[in-house]
Amino acid sequence: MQDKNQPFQLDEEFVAMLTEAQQRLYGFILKRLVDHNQSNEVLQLTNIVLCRKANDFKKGTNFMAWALTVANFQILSFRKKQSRDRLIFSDKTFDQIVEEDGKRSDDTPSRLFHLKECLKKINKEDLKLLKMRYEQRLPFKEIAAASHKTSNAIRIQAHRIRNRLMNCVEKRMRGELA
Amino acid sequence: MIDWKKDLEILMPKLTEGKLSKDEEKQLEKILGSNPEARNYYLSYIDVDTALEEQIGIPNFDIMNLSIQEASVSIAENKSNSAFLEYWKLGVSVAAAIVLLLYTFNGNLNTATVTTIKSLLGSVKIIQQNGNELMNPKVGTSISIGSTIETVSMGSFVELEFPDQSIFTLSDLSQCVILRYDSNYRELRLLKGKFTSDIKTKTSKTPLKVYTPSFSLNVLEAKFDIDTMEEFSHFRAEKGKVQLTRLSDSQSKEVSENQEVFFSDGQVSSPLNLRTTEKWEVKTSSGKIPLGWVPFSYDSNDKSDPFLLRRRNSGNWDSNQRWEVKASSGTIPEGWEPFGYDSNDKSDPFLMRRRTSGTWDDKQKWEIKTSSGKIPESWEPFGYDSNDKSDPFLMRRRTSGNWDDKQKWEIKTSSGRGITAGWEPFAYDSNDEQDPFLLRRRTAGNWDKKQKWQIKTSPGKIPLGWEPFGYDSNDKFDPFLLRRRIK
Repeated sequence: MQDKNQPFQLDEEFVAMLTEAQQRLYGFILKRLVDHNQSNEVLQLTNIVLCRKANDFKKGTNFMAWALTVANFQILSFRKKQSRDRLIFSDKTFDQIVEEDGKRSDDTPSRLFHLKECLKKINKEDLKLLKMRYEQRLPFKEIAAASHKTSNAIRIQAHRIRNRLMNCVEKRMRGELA
Repeated sequence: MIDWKKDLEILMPKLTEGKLSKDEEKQLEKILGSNPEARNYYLSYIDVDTALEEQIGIPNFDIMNLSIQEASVSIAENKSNSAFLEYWKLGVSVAAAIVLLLYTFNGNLNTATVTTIKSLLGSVKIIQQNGNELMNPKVGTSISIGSTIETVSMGSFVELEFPDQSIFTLSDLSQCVILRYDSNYRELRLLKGKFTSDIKTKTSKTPLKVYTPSFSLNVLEAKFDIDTMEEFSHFRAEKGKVQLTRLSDSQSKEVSENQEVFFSDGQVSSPLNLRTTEKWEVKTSSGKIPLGWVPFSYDSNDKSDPFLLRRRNSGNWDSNQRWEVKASSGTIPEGWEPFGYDSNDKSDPFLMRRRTSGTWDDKQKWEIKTSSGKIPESWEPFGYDSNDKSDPFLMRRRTSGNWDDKQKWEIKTSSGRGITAGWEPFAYDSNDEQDPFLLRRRTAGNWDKKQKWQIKTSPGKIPLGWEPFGYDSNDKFDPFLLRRRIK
């Protein structure tokens, strides 16, 4: 393990894997904590631990699985330190979410592949909204101003697109769509 | 539709935006705790949102350079670390980056140059119209129509010079797009943040149009600033005349030299004459107060430099003044004045200050106590303890010298979207997401019941006319709270 007081010395490959893992780690944490500020905080702590333990990681093994294990410990430790009223999920709901998400985690690469395919089928207007939201990272209010619509209309449109994509991914995973 | 699905249809988009209220969080917990199908839907929804980020989000190449070349993130580094890690969050895979880069250099580039970088500082990202990032922007780099320019690091800026000699300076954490810029059209869109402009008409008599999320403006030749946040925008004309149009109803106003206009919650103020030239600076300290600086607040989360200091660079300000600070368990020694509170210090949470140069009453005596919200006669509210749920308000009264024993105060909280006339912002509750601003008003003695205040946040640079009055320990990007009286 690297010295706590020393700057991290990271090799290029490790940084690449860590960078690639960021969104997945964030999603994993968000599902369990719901709150974005808390999730960002835990993501930061997770990144710091991963960087400190970079030498412990064996090349060729599953980086994502290792990173998720570290994130899981950080979430548990974070929940322990928080007062009850700052946590959104009770212990019971938290355990249920963890259990059900655990069953799904092996499917992630396949879900990503199917999502790519599903994205090819969405119309131009919906794609434009997704690009403004995810590529330009605009809040709904600004997308609404640029599209001459209300924020609520944009929020509903985004929700419907996600729903359609969710259904498309689920159907493809069940083999119902080519 | 099944009931839980209807509810999640409202809750999930808000969750992905980070806008769930406390009640909605409770509702979500209730739904998920009792329904396996709802849990499955919840997990799938976040999976899709995360996957869309991975698929569509633009890779941030800066992160790669930062991590490898600088090779270090010291744990002891200050708050800018969080910004660095935010970039990580935005980053995607190296593989994707390489593929995208290869695609970029093979793609069609729109090379219609409209502006060049005159100066820049910090991390600046330029995405061209075709989605490709312009790598390593530096002084002299040309930028084409349709490019999105973003100043991504704290303290960064970029100054752009156009062929007609107009100058735009994009401040830190801001983003704008050059829509069109030729002899027939001059159009820019400010997506977020601040910019200052000096618009010239040397080669063109075409008015410049600038779009912001809440208003557009038409200008021929002028110097102006725009500052746009989610709920609040500010426009200031330093020279020339500008026509502002509110986007929601196309209502227009003309703003002349040395006037400013505020947009807040869909409301727009009349053009106001610039009232003040007060200029404040802030900085942090471990406890030793440098000459000329006054301690005014405390950051409970910063262990090395928790004291917040301010000084004024204009008007009558004693630049030789000296101050001392110390902490107390609750008894205030003679000559010391209570001014802040450290929520994390259980033994000595009260912060006191005293001036050790110039005029200062060394015999002054103060008392402090806490309150649940009712302020007794003669006590003045001055701070807030975010960790105390029963008696969070801090009050003080002077028991020596001149002190109005008949003074009465009321306090209330505010979301910050608009401060009710007659109320003055004085403190901040970092733990209250809904109504973090604390307001006070005097109900006995002299008090201007028509006074109006505005508030905003800042990363540390205090704009002209704004006074720092508080600090949000939980906000890593814009922790300083500023106020200014507008009436």
